[in-house]
Amino acid sequence: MDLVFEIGCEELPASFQKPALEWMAAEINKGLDDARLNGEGEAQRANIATYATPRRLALIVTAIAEKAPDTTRKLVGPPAKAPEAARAGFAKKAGVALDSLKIENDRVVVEQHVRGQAAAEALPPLLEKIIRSIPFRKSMRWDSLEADPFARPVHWIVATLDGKLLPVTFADVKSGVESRGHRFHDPKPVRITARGYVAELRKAHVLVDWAERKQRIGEEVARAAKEAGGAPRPDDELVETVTGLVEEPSAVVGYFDKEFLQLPPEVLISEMRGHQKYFAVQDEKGVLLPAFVAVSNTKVKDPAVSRKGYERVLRARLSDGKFFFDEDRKVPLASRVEKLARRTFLQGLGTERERIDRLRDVALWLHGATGRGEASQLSQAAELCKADLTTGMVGEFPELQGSMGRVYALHDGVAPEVADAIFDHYLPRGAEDRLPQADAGALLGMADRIDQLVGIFGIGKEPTGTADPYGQRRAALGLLKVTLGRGYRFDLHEAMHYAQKLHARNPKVSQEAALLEKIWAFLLGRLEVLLRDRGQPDSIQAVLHTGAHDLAALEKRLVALQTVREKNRAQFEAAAAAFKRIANILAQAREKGLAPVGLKPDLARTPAERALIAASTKAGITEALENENYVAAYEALAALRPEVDEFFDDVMVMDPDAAQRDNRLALLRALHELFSPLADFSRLQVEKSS
Amino acid sequence: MPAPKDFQGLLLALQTYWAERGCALMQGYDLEVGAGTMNPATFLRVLGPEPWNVAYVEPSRRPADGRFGENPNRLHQHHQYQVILKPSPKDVQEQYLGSLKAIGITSEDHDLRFVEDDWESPTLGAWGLGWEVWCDGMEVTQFTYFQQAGGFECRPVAAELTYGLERIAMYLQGVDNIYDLVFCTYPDGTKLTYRDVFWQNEREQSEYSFHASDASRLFKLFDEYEKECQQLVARKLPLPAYDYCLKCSHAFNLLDARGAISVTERQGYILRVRKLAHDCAKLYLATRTAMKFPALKDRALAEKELARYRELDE
Repeated sequence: MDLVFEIGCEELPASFQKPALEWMAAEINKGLDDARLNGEGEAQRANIATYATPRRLALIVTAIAEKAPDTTRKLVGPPAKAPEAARAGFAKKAGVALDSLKIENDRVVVEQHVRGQAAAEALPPLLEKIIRSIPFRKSMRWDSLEADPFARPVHWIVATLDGKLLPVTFADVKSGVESRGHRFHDPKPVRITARGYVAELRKAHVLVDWAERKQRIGEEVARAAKEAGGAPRPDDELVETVTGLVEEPSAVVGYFDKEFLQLPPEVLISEMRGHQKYFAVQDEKGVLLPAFVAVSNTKVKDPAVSRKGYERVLRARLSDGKFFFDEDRKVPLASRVEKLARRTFLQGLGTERERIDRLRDVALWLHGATGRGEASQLSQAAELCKADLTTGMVGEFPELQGSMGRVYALHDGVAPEVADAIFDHYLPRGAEDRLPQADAGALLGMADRIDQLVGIFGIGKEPTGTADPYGQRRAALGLLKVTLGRGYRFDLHEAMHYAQKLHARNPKVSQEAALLEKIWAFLLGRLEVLLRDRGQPDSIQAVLHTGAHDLAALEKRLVALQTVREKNRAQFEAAAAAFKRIANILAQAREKGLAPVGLKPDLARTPAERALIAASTKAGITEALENENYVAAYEALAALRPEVDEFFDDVMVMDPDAAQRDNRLALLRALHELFSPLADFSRLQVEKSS
Repeated sequence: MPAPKDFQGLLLALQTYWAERGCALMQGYDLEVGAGTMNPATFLRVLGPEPWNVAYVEPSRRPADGRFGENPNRLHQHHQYQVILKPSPKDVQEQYLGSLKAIGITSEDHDLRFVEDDWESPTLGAWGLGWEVWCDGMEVTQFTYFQQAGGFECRPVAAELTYGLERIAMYLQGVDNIYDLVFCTYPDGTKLTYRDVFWQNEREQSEYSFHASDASRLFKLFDEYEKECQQLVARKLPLPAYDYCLKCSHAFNLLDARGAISVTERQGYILRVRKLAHDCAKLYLATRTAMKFPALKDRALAEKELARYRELDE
């Protein structure tokens, strides 16, 4: 059977629509499963389609089972030997005659026939539950006193099953069979069906299918941009937003005065897309043209009229932008820095001025540790990197932080490398964004993120669950990406320790060692995600827990581990299993409280012991590790296997003679320590060695 | 409906439209307010269960927005047309679109859009959900379903429509500079412009807000107004008390424009005004409760709602 369920309401926020649909689809699917209306087997499952516009959220579900299958339910009663009164009571409760009770395992039982519920019965309460519990970011009440909250007032509900009305009530709305067309072009009621839903509403000037509407917007915008002799600047995020703002898009091109092209392109784009949701238009070289495209929800009689309106609004905004641009440039960035002393960075983490002092110190520390970058450039970039927060332009468009810093720095005659670093230190700004192009911006950005992680975790504002109010997941990911992407070698743990000490004047920031462990664990969690495509999960775990805090070394070890693992799996697994065994024996010894002693080669009695000592001190292994030639180190490890196997075959580690036992443990410990920089073998999932 | 030709024609058209739909036409408040919402005809009347439909022009002062009469779009004092419909009628969007038609803005000619905009006033402890209404990409109205005021839930919800009159007039008259707006046309055909009426005020008020105000005196006034508000609350006079809450709010805005309040102090001042607003709202609700919500015709409902508020009426 086919279900139509449409909730019609006043204009929903664009960002609410898709999440609501995903949730509704999951709920109806689960509801149909629970009601056993989803058919048996994948092929018979109901098909769920979802649709949304600013004025409606809809589920169209086809091939719902007409009725859930009948089942039987067994009720178990008192013991068979129980007095008749007890058995009679049970029979009465179950609604059967006393003589129809059966006996199973010495208890009376009765089998009840349970009629499967019809879809038409099961659906109304399910739909009411769905509409009542869609998790909107914000909900509201309207007119009546006790109405159910929703994202915006609800005006109609369509709920039909094979065309027949399903009774659903929400707030003061009762379900019906008619939807509404476009608010202005076709406000009349529209009869809708499951099979014809998209076409019926298309006729009523509503493109109800998200993908179709989005595509139409793309076409419309391209067509309009062509009128201005250009193409829209690609901006999928904006297309998505606009898709949530219109039911039937039509695009109108407009123009602005060429003199505004003096403004930096970032400013022009922010002015157009940010508030106005206009698309910027560019030529084939990607240079902005003095034109834009607005997407209207209505096809107006004369586009010239609305074009004039769009242009007027943009003109006022661009004039404002130009005003900020001109005013901001009157005050050099360098002299804005003092204002930062009056701006709080975050409660408990001091002022912006104190923050940039810390950034400079951490950046210089990183410079010292990595030998990369140039100290004077770094200091200057650190000094200026937050100064644009005090400009009118960044006040108006926070997303231009860094961009304006670079533009204004260049205007002040600051060296281009320093100006670039001001912008670059914010990179990457998202998952797809590029990395800084030079050391100054990269090191400064890393310093910024280290300072944030230590400070924000330090005052106990770290991310919890899905909440990450200060964007620390993104900060961590940015830090890891820049470090690995640009190949910086340093001990990240030490860097964080240094940053922690710089926070000493902020009493709220913890100075405990546990703080760094907590951040390190958090970073490892992000690193695991980042390296996901580079190795098996247990390889990643084994490498990340070697105790090293140099990210590039960890990455190299992972690459080597995956290489040797894939090259000769059987050989690797056997060697790894042997080392796992060593790790286990050492762990047992620790549990027994056996104090470690130094290895005394002279005490070795058996040939197997002596052979293993000789093999493990053979030249090559330490060098391979020191040169970070991890593949060679693994080869050395694999080459030891005959001696290791022989040792385990011939020698009993836990010898009754304590001196022998301790010396053998010492040998294993030395071997373990030798190879422990490669991986924590106990975390590898490998077959037991034969 | 032809578009009104001048600024006051716009006011008249809106007044006529909303009067015909049952709104009491009131006036802007006689104290400095930053927005029509702060007028007690909105802030206090949206509280409690009594119905209330009102429309008025509110001259709204925003000291920090002053531009010495030099910016074509920004003003120290602009005019809002404020409509409160309580409870919010089912067809409030249609009624609103009708009002645009009454001033010559139709969906046939213009791209009209309801774009998400959640409204919040931290100083009033008030918030609501709704939209900014766009006409060809320009925000012409703030449309809000009031959810809370003074920290109290609005029951029933009131719809608030706040039209930006200067913007709409500029659009209708096709001028790019506020000061070129025609305010009215004399019988002899000569025109009185917005410049003639307001320019000197803009210049002087900007000078006052940014340079001439005496910050230390304003700080003292803030403290005094706060005390006056508190003692009036103690005497159970919510309306006079609220006047001093408004005075505090304006003093705060002046100090803010003057740059006299640091970022860290700012929150503290906002919380002080918010506390006063909350106390006034609470007391207002208590006094209406004591009067048993006389404007509520449905007495059964009044009884039910009284139970909800009785504890406020100590």
